[in-house]
Amino acid sequence: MSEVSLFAAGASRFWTVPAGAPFLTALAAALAMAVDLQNRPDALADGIIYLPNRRSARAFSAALHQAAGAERTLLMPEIRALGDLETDDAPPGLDAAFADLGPALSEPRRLGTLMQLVHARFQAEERDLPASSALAAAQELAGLLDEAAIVGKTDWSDLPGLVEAGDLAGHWRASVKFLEIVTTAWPEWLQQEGVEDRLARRLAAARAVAEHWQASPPAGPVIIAGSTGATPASRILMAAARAMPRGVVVLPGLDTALQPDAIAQILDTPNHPQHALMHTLASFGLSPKAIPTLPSLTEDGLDARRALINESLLPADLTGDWRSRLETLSAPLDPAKFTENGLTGLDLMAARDETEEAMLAACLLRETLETPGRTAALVCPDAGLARRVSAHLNRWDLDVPPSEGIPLLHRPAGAWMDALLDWWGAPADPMRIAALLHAPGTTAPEGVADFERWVLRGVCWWETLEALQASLHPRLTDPQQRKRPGLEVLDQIEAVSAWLNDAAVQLGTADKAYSASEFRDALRRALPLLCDPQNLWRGPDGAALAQQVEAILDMAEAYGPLTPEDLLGLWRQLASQANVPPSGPGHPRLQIWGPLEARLQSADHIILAGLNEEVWPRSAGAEAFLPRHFKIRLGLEDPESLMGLAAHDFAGLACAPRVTLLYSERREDAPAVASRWVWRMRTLARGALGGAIENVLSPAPERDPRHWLAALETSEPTQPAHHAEPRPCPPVDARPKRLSVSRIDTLQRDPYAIYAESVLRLSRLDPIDRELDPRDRGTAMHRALELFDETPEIGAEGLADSLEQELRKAGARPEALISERAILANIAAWYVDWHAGRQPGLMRVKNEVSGEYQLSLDGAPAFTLSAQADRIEIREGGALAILDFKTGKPPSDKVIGVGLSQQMPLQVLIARAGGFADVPASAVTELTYVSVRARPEVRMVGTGRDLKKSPMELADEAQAGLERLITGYMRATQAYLSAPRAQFVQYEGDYGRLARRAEWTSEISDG
Amino acid sequence: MSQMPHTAFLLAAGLGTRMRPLTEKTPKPLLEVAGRSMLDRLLDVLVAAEVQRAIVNVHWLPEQVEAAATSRGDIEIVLSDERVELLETGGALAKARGLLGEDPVFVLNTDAIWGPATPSPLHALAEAYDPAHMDELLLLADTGRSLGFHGAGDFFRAETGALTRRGEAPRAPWAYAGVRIANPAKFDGLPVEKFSANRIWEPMLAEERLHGLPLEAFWLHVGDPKALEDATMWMRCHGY
Repeated sequence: MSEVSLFAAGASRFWTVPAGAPFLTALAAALAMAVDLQNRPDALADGIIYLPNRRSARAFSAALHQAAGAERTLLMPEIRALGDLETDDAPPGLDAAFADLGPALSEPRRLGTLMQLVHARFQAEERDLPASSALAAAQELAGLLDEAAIVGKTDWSDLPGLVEAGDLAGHWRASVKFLEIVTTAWPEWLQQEGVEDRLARRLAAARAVAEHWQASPPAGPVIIAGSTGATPASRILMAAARAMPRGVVVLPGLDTALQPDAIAQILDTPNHPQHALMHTLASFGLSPKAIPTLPSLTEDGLDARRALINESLLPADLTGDWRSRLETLSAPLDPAKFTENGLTGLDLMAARDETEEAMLAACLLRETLETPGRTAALVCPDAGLARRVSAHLNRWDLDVPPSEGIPLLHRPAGAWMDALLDWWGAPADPMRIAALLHAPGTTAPEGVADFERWVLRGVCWWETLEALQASLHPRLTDPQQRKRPGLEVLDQIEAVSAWLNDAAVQLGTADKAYSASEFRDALRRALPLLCDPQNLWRGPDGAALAQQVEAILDMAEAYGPLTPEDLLGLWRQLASQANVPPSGPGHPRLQIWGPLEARLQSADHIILAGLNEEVWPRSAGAEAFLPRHFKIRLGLEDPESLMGLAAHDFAGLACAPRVTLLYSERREDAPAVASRWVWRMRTLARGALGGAIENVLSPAPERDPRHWLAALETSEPTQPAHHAEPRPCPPVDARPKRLSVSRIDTLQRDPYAIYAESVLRLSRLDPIDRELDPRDRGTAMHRALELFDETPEIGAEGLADSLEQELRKAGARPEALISERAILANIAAWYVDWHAGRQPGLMRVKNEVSGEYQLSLDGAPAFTLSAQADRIEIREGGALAILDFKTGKPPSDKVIGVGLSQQMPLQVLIARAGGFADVPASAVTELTYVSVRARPEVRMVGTGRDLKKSPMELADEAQAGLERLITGYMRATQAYLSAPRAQFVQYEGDYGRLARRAEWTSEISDG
Repeated sequence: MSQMPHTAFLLAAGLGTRMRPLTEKTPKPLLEVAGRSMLDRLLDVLVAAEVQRAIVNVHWLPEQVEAAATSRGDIEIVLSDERVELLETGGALAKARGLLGEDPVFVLNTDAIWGPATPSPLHALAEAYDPAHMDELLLLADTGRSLGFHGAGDFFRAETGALTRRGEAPRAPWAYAGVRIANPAKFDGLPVEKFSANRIWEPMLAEERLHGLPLEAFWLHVGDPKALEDATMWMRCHGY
């Protein structure tokens, strides 16, 4: 340990805290030692300390208190965040210097203005561009401006020259033309408005601070700590601090062992962890080996780990002879021993997938709490994974919110605003109405459930809210509808509809563009109707929501009028990136951090998760406007250097004394590749250890979380308490005494369905905004055919129109009908022909006629068979023909012959007994299925090869069968089984799940 | 020259003797390095360099090579059929002379890949190729900046770029990286028979018209199963 104090005469101005050592504690201790803080609590009162961000600034004050000795009152130094350099409040004594800077430009206004410029360029070319695309382009341009501002570039005059010189593909040329927005239009706008870009202002602020220090050097210590010097602003402050009487720079995780040849390579390798640091040192003419470690740090036994991690992260070009390098590195130890030392305290584990990875991380965090006072932190760039771990910990009553917060759209306030804006764009859309009605926080009048049940569920029949409102009463009281709500329910439904209408009117129509102030007014008018605004804007959720909404309205202000649909697009794009920061105090010993939040922090156990390629590290995304090599030639930052900073984060964390690395073998249901850093470490270690490597990298069995997880997941096998197949035997009085002919078929095929429907009185609810199904189509088309009987003079063309009209009334979508028009014309032409052919010998026609037949059985209650015949013709001589219209394929004679489709024969039973209203009892001589579909077809039952029987013979058989069937079910012991003849069940699924078929049949079905 | 050759010739016919047993059922170009076949990796850079046509010669397991190459659809594929007789690195071009056209073409071995897999070595070759001073321009790998190459090196390179053979020297600094630009006219009138590229290089060497250009990337020579494994590991380690 060095005894040299931080501020001793002749001491170095640059220091480092090696990777893996606790940065903030070490810095605090070194400072306390240098100024004797324990005895002189005011020694730092005039000090200025710059740390990278607010989180580290906060943690540092705590560390300083600790270093001074607990319970001592300190006069704290000025602790500031480099990241806040450009904010409007000037550091003390710098008000004058900051007054010369232009006001900072807010981000929304910047994006809005860039959107406007993008839009104008498109308009000049007479092209149209949706607002959300303009925003996407504006965000790319803003990113480019940021990159330029970070390196202090404001002059783009070299761009056109480069384009001419470079061998660029055509689309890049076009995009360079497009970049005139940032090269010309944007600087002009800034000047005209007298404002400054945020990052440009940061650089200017750094210069102002530096100049101020130079003019009147601060008397106290000036410390720039924790920055790699990746940005010019931080380097300016470093240079300034270095010139101060008591100025010190503390670099994070510098590798002081690097050789000159490696340094030369690293300077050219932007994705190397030491890249930024080497550039910083080079700019000050320093070499890494000249930089001492902070005097507060003692030998920590981590040198082998550091050497191993640093070696594994060397630039690609130096890794050709990795194995021989390891030998040099490990001398005097042999490479195997050296590698083992280096990997002590480091575990590496692969999870099957993200689910297991989250569970493993949660187990490791939970285990930490078994040792009093121990701390642990999960560091993970994948916000989804972080939230999963947080949720697992919640199950164990541990509140550990991810430090980056929860996405606004996952919080009630964000979700509610999303539902509102979504609804505004299409206020008559059933799904959007449902989402708004059910969003927590909506203050709808009573009756929402009924509104959903009677209006939103099923086929949507309206196009506007007004149309919905107007048609509500007639439709819900229509006697033709089989099911109708009660009158008091109807009142409530109408109230909900009126309320929706009011709110929509207050918001304003969807097809108009609104200015920002009009949007504000619309929200102000409509919100009190739709929710409790006090509640909406309350708490951290409300604050985050307000910030987003304001941001979008500010953007709209700069961009110009927007339609509600545009506004929704912008909202979705911005809100999906917004987080609600955690509000509570969090957990005292466990943390979940993103890599940025984890910088400079430490914990007893560091868990790194998400170590997969494209997660950690994520490769630099495709460049929208400039190819990478172009950016470099323009003097912009190489996008790869972000990877270098990520590698620096990783190296620092992976050198912690106790660290666990996790990655997944599969992600998002696809094989995933482990992070390059994991590959490198493993490759290097395998070179030294061979097959023994897995043992060294795996945790010891007693602290292997995979074992804990396996134990958690094993449970005692359970025996089902009863037979899973339902065999309901309701009492005889509860059994149905009246069924229609089609239900008789159901009773034969799937008795459980009859039980559920007629005994339990359960029916399946329609989905919201359902598509038209074959049953609806059948009913609608049949209505058209029925009307044709009254007005045959309309002819084929008229009939086709009428078919289309009826389908439209039933809710068929206009676009679907267009494609169907040819089929309908075909059907109509065929039907007119067929209809004419039936005229000779026809006396009278009855359409849609109801009938019933009483069955009296010995010792059983009376039973009524009912039917609704599509069409009954009374032919010359009084004989009857029964016709049934199908839009699908009619049942085959074979199925009718074996008694499994008895609708037609049972109708004969009713007809011959005179059971149909207004149709005299008579013999039935014809049973005909008319199949009205693309290829129409007529089939007379009992005249084919499979079945040769007259209608009357069929009716006799049907009657015997019906009596047997009903007698059986009138016994209390007869169970209603679920689909004993599954192969004949047509509309499967309505009750399959209720009967829990999946549990006891081998059917593969998701019914 | 700064014009990009529009045609490339891929030597995909070899038996892959040193790769056995991996090449018993899979032709060598279809062996995978880090989850992507070497053929696809080469075609990827050709596509990125906007080369429009690739002539692929086939001999060993030709159906597999053909299916893999033609299924891509982002570059025109022409097959040069050597099912009857394998013609080696020189003869293959003599046979395909009619397909090559008159402009300079890229000639690529399918066992040479580099990281990062950008087309910039192809751009550099095209830029440096000067028909006035050279017949062929070879891409050269620095034997110290490579993986899987264990030979003594092939060439010395003069300041002008002209190459001389290693000859009797124990080591030479440059190895042929398996990619070159060739002038199709040099194959005019050559017999369609088995011969190696060395035969046509001899007169060029003598006239100092065989030139070389250093590869500005890390070279992976995928010669044997061990090298294949190392190359995969190297790719994974560097995220390529």
